[in-house]
Amino acid sequence: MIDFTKLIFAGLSLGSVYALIALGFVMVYKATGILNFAQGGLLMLGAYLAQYFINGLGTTFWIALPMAMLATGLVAAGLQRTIFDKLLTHPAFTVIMATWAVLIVLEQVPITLFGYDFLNMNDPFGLAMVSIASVQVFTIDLWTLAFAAGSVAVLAVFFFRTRMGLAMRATASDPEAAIAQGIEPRLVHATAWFVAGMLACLAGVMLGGGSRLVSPELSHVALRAIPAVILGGLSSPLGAVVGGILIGIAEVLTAAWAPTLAPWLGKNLHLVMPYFLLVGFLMFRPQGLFGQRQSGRV
Amino acid sequence: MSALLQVRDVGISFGGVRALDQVSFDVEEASLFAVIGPNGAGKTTLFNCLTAAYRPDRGTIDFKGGSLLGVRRRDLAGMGIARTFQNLGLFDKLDAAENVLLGRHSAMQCGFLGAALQFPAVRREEANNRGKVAEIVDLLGLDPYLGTPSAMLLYGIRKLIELGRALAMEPDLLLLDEPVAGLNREETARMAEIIRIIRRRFKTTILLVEHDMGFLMSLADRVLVLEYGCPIALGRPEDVQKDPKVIAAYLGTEVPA
Repeated sequence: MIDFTKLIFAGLSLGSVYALIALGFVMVYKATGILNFAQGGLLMLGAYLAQYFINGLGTTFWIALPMAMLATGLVAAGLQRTIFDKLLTHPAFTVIMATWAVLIVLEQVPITLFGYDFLNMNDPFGLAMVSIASVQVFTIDLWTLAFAAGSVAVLAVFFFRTRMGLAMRATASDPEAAIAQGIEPRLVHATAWFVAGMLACLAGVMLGGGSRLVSPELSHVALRAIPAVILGGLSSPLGAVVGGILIGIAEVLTAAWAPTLAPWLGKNLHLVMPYFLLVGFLMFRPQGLFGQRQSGRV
Repeated sequence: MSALLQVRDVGISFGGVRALDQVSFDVEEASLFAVIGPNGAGKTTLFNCLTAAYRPDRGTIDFKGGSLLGVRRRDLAGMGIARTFQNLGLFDKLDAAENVLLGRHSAMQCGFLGAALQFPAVRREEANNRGKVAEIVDLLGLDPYLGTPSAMLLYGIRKLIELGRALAMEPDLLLLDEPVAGLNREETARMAEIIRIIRRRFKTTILLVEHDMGFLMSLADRVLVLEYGCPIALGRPEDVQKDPKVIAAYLGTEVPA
């Protein structure tokens, strides 16, 4: 039983990282209609930046994290202003291919600057563990959950209590009518990218910290959050959170059980588990758990 | 004193088709000006010129003494021009109050920090906005529908919410694109009554485009009739109604050349 609780906890922690990444996908998708594959590159960039601020500049983790988030957010908003704003009227396929190209470029930036070596984040969590109700868990997993919950709360305040949040919800619903209210669509789009960049950075830092390391592999983790987005529904922030957590738990449980239950499936079944769920959902419930059925306007 | 809105010799063509030709009129402050005409007369094209969606090939459009040509659509709200949409432009997932509140977007300043920390200035602004929204919700009788996403409401109610959103802007000029299209007789009468109340209460200048003649006759101060993009009559509704050219355009007794 203790083992199971431990697994669920690890799943929640991993899932909350997926939730952060998925929220970034949903933000950009809702505001601009783009599925932004560059998210993984932003995540990786964010983790390397935080690592550099700590190891290179010698700041503490608690200063490095907000600095890296701000920088990554600005890079994301800059990408929107310089590239994706110009592609706004192009077909979705063109834009998605462009985000993919940006991903490839972004992935090379930290490699060029810091090389292929796996780097230690030197965060304050390390391998420390705490015990909750006689279950030993990693401290960083607790912090990851706290950061994710905090981010969701801040986003909720942003969307429901601020002028910009309301303007973003309005633009997602009817861009033309939003313009008639004096809402600047470019500002809305840049804000969405900025927030997505900050979330990607936070996710990257939590994935590269603690018992794990900062490496070029981090970029692929964002791809595993895509099943979370599809599971929850591309346009649903709540879905992104639920989908992320479900994918995280599924991945951890598969990693723990598959080797004994179905050893003939190999050791890395857990890495493809999210994609099995992705294909299943696309086949049987393409609008996701919380998404709305597509109804196109001609 | 010059009129609030002055349209002079406006013309626009689309690939050789003259959608509007030599359209001129004035809209006086606090008046209700109506543009009517059969389908395809150019009403929507004119509306699109006024809302900066199209730029006319010829002529001028002046508002409060400055030109409206070349103005960006999102700047109209800040200039004091509110509009509604022919096929409704509501934010479907938002409820009536949120939709109306968005009409105050240009007037709001509250940023993220302000909202999170609840500065006194922010609270004052919020209270002011809430007061304005409550006033409009009350005026239009929208109380029973608060909290329901607008997509779930009847079409007539949604039309009212959209009107409320435009009113929340406290506009100097309110542009209504077919405000009673798709409404039944009862809802049309209600819309007419509400437009009368709005004029009495806020003295708002209104320009509306409609093809329902009956709806307009008791409401408008002045009427412009378009046919095939050309003005065929301009004047008081009772005079325009008797004009043989208008009767011909509406009843189709004359075969156009």
